[in-house]
Amino acid sequence: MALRTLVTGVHILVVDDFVLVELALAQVIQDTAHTLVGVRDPRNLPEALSEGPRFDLALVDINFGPGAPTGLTAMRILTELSPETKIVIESTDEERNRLLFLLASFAFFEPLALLSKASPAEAVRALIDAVDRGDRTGPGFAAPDGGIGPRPPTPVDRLVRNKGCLDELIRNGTDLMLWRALVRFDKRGEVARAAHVDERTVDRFTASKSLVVDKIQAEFPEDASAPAARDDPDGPRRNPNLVRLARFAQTHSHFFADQAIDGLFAARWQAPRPRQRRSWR
Amino acid sequence: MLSDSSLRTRVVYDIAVRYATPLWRIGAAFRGGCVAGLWILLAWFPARSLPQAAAQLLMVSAGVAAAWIQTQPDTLDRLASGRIAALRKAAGHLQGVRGRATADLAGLLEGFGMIVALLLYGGPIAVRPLPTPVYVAGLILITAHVWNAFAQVMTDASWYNPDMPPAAGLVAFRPWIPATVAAIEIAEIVAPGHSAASRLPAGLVIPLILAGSIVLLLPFTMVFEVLLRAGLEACEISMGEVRRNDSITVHSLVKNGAHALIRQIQADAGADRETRSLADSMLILAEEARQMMLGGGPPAETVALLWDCVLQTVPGDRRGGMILDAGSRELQMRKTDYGLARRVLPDLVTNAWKAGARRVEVAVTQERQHANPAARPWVTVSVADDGPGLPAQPAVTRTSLRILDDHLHRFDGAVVAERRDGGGTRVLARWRSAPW
Repeated sequence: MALRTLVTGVHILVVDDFVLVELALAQVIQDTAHTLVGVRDPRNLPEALSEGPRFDLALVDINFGPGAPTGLTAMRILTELSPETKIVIESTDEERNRLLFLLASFAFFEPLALLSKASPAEAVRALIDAVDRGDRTGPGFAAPDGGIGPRPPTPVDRLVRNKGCLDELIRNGTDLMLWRALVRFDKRGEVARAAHVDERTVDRFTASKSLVVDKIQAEFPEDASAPAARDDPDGPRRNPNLVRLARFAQTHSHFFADQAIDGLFAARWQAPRPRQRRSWR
Repeated sequence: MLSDSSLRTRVVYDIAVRYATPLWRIGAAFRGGCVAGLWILLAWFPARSLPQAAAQLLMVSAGVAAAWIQTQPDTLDRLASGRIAALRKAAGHLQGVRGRATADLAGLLEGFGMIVALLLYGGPIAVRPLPTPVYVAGLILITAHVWNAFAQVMTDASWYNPDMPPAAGLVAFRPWIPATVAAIEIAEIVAPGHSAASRLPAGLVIPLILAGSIVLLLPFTMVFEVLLRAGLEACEISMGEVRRNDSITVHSLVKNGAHALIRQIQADAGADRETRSLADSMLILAEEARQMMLGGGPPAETVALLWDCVLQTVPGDRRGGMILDAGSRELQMRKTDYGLARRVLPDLVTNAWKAGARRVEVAVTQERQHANPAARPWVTVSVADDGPGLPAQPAVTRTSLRILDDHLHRFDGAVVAERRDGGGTRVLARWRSAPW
């Protein structure tokens, strides 16, 4: 493996709209055998993947600016067209609205690791070298089981352990329509009208999703988009839990607006579900 | 005007969904009042026709009751979970169709019910004799009901839904809805029968005026859309104000922070050129974010936008000498090329004015090779100044030009500096346009 490192290194694809990220990474791998190509927009990935040798590693950003597809589209294209390419998500720590994107990334694509854009050059190089060695024990790498063990969970462990929350958050197409309506409305009747459902469906949605949001916020306290429900000055006109869910939806509006999630979830809903053994106790 | 799709926007749809909820509730109550009035008028009907008249009012009564229940979520919920299967089914249906542009039970019952109710006053099975005031009051109540119901149809939120636009045929028919409804009402009233036109209790004028008034739904809807358009414009203006305020925040927070950082780095002898360049680029990025937030400026990824941002890094008294070639301004670049130009141009311009140049001429071009038009074009950034010329030893040390040169090697490019005839320097940064 060491010989391979010397001779070939890791062929890296950087999928990031900011060319400075590519230039900075190029400096990090300067004087190593690793090579690097950059793509600014996920829509250019098919072209990039069709040219030259296959990529060993793709560093994928989440956000590509207004109007552009997100990292979920990039990961879907990579998984379809180059399944052998290992994916590492690179993200800015400060982005509050990235949590659902990260959960979706781990739920649908099983990326190898999460790399902070604030990571020092040594950490980035260590991660690339570890990928080259096939060593997946370093910081930032995702353990398949979410790192169950004595050590405190890392941010990646928490994402892997809680990726199931996303399925609870969006169980079907109606849930998705309701989340999208909640981005723009926070009254029961308006949400029902905008999502084309009856108000009892909104009530059931509010009750069940409040529990999921509670769970997410307990696991990820840094995501303070939907503080616990309080008495609302508007009185009975507004359901405090619904207002809270609306705040959560607004914080993650970029995620709910992403067309990529329609396809990803639709494929999951259509897939046959494993039959659960019935318990008689 | 009513077929115009410019109102089918997210903002207008959001407004429409918001007004629909209270207006539907008020409308259902109003139509309920109209139908109650029709029941009261039965007191002046001939006794022998009362069973027929009551039967003819049943359908519209059920329709307005259903429409009212539809606006009462709690009542609907109770019915939907009640013991009577038929009511449970009807309530479920009413819940399911709310907010959809579709024919629902309440609408059908009200529509056909009102046609049947109108037959009490006109057409082949009209009740006679009726006192003229009762006849006129009945027609007024029916017309008021129709007015309200179709005002709701004409201003329904679904006309403005950008995600699920109504069918093209429906949009084309929309301006004709009031005339069609008016024609149906007139046809019913003057239909041949024992109540022919000459035998109408109040003559033809009052029924014609009342039915004809339904055509006014068209200008009513147009006025409604004028208000919606005004709301949309007001919203856009408010949005602009918010953007301007936000851009001031970006300016004061990010730019002041960037200036403090740049001052610190300039004072730090240990900071290398790359660090200094990246710190300077913070100003460019903050200005670009500010301009994009404001909107209305040069389009994204154009040289015009980049140049406006670069000028912000030049001291005010030097900006007059910074000249961008007119042809370069409109050049739209690919994302990577724009990113590279954003990395290169500020450094070259800063080097020029810091070296003492009073006039700096900049051009950005993108050229295809004549020999191979299919090949990726070359992008060239040229910065020519009237400064003192190059120092003697730039090539070996890690100057900003050397760093840029390293970066551009990744794109088959390079940075070349040359002395200009007559004094000054011309620096050319050139690279092959990135495919992605």
